[in-house]
Amino acid sequence: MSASAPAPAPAAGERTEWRGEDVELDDVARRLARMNHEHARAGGHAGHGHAATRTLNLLVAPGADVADALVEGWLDALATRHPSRTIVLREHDPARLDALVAIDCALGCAAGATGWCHDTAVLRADAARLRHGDSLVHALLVAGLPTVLWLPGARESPAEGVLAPLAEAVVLDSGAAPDLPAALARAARLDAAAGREAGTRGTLAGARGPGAAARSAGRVRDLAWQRLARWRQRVAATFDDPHARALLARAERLEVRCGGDDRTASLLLAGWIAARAGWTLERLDDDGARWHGSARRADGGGVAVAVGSPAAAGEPRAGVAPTDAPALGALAIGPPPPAPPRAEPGGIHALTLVAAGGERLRLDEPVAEPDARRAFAAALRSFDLPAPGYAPALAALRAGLGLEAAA
Amino acid sequence: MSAATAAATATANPFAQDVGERLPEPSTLVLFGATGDLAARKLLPAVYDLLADGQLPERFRVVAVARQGHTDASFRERVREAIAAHARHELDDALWDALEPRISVVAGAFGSPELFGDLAAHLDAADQENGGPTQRLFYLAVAPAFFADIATSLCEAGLGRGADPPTRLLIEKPFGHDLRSALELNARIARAFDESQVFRIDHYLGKETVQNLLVLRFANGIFEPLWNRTAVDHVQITVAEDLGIGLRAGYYDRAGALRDVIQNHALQLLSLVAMEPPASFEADVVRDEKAKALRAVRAPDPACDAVRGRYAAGWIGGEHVPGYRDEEGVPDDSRTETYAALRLEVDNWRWADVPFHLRTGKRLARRATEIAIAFKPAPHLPFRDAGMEVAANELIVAVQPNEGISLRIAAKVPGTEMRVRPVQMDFQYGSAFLRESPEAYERLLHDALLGDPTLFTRADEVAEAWRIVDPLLAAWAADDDEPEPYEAGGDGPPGADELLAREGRAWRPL
Repeated sequence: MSASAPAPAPAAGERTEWRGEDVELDDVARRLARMNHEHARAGGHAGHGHAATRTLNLLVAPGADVADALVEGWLDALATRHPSRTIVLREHDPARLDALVAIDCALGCAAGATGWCHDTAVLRADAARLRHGDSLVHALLVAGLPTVLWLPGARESPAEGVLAPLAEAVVLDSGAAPDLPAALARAARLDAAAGREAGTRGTLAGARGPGAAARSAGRVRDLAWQRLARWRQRVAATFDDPHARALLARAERLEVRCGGDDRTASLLLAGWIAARAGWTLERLDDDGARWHGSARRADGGGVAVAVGSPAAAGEPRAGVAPTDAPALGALAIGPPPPAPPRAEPGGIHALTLVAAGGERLRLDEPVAEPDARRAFAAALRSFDLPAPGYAPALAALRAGLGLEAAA
Repeated sequence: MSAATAAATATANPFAQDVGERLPEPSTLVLFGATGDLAARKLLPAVYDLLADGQLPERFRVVAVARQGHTDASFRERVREAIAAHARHELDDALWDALEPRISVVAGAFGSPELFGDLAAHLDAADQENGGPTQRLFYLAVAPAFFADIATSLCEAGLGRGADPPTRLLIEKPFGHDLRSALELNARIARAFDESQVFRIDHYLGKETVQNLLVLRFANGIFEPLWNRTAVDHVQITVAEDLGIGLRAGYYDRAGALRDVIQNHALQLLSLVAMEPPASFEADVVRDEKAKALRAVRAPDPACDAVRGRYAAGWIGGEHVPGYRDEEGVPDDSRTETYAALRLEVDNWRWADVPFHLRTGKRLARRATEIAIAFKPAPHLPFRDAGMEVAANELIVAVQPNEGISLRIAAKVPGTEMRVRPVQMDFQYGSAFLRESPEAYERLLHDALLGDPTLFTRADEVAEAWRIVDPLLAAWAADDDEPEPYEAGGDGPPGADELLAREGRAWRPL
């Protein structure tokens, strides 16, 4: 084993780190504890001792398709409001364990400032070790805190399967996956696996509480779904209007127009609408730019579904029948027409529902969707809340794609 | 309409079940005093921040009621500047392009009846043009002298009690200047608007930490058993400011610290500390408990339960600052207090004999709003060193600037000797959750749009708070005593220290 000498304890706003090659896990755990201790002592000497406020353990198991810099960038973006002990598990080729332990701290000395401190352990190991990744993290998790597993990237880490049962929630982004059916299957699999063992280490009440064994469903926090939060709010607000609900009952076409980079969020929105409107998605086909499909209303009527970028399909304002019927009040925002929102990955531009007779309902006000990092922060903040609607949306899409029902 | 359609129309909104944070109903926010300081610094930025956070309904408009001479274009420019200067979110062109056309101006004088006819016509026309009726919120960011008149005029224009579409009235403290005027104001407003339409803003209630106080008390099992006279020695509520009165001499010299802070913010904090557990978090259930707590507060004796002070010149942050009477706009013979400290008792089973000490002041050593629950000391210290003093436990709820909660406990100093020293366990609100807290005005505006009055002060709470401070106001107005001077940048007048020293207690250092 070789390791660099520990750096001196940090002053305010500094990072202390330790790197070790071919280490044992015990070394890492001891180092982490010692660095935290030294840091607290140094802070005390400087007159601003601290007590860490941690709210969760954040496990990170990136796929091989995710660059270190990307993960670090996202974690850095959280840094000033980072409540976790972060443990990153990465795969490398050598058959050994390498580790990096870091403490980042900034103490809020100025009036109105808030100090923060967090620690991170990055473990690099070969696939064989990672397949037993749970044994690598047990000693590093802060007891008594909930654990969230974040799985950046579309490719699976070898550790994914063993870490999921430790976590109360799993954060992933099905929008990042090129293969939608595979992404949906992964989400369903993780949803079933997550949290299976979390209660044994989480809170005492969690371990003993009623239903502890059955608390495994609804554990996936999909960032693609998270980014839809405001669109879902808007859709819900729109259908408060009985006229809009009447139109929904007669809908013949649903179109979600979005930027080209990520169609999954838009598809989830369409799936959710279909599920909650009581439609059955019967078919979904990908022509490379758009998803086309058909759904069956509860009264037997058919609904055409189109999701994607109209520009790519060469179909301006695709499929919306021209109509003289007045736009529904709830949807007509005063003149002048709003500027088109800037295309961003996952950005939805408009949602259109066309009913028999050509009457239509269109939502196209710019929505300030949270960007990916904000969605990530929101997912971490609300990991303990159910994500209502996600499972029905997934199930509708799986039905449309002809996959078996979600596990 | 077919039978199937009718059935679908009759059913509930199928999407509502999946959305926790609902958007408000389509709304029009009517701002009286739209060109004033509060609108520029707080209200308009709050509107934008709500928009940027996706918290505004699809159909939302802002109508500014302003003096003659303002146009849509000139006011929109002011709004843009206010947002750029004060909003949490950066000004985004796409959002601004969506917001700008929804801002319009109705010009006229508050005293003129035509204004309100024009306003009603403007609102109806805007609704007509934009797809249907919207609820109307009238925000009176104007001098309190106008509250009752504007409310009456709104009612006469058909925009008050029983209006269709529904309306709400938002007003900001001060609600009256003593008990009598507050009751009069409540009565005049009650003739124009139903109490359920009236949202009285105390922006302290919009602060996350203040709401968190309810969570701390009622979502944790370990505190409530101690939250009473058995374990609590006394409670201190501090609202300290390092600033002077700035350009507000005209208002402040008539108000003073007691009216400006104690009657509203400090007593609201007291009611949250002292209240009994509400059965639910419904607005009137919570407000019933708060009002009940205020009703239990014994009116203080001006002779022995209160101290007033006035800041003299001093140094703050390395700058020499003038005394209160030397501030611009303050009369030389002013007797207004810039500091007030009170000792209150809450006459109920929970709090009998537990004093609540309230203090507020301008030009104190630092800006700090906090609630300190001082617990009784351990009854017996089983350590050999008899001379050892151990500080009693204290739970501090810091409201600003560093929102958080800390608990002082005793710990052993490492070593062979048995020595005990206090240590602080901190929970910092900002660092524990991955979200910037919304500004208080955002939260309150959003709640008002949703029609949730939980965080607003009810008429009876206002009246009770005035009942508590009224004897002091009367006594201080009647006597010829000057407020006790204190040095700017200090901890307040010596009399305030004596108020606690008499009973063997001391203020927490600022």
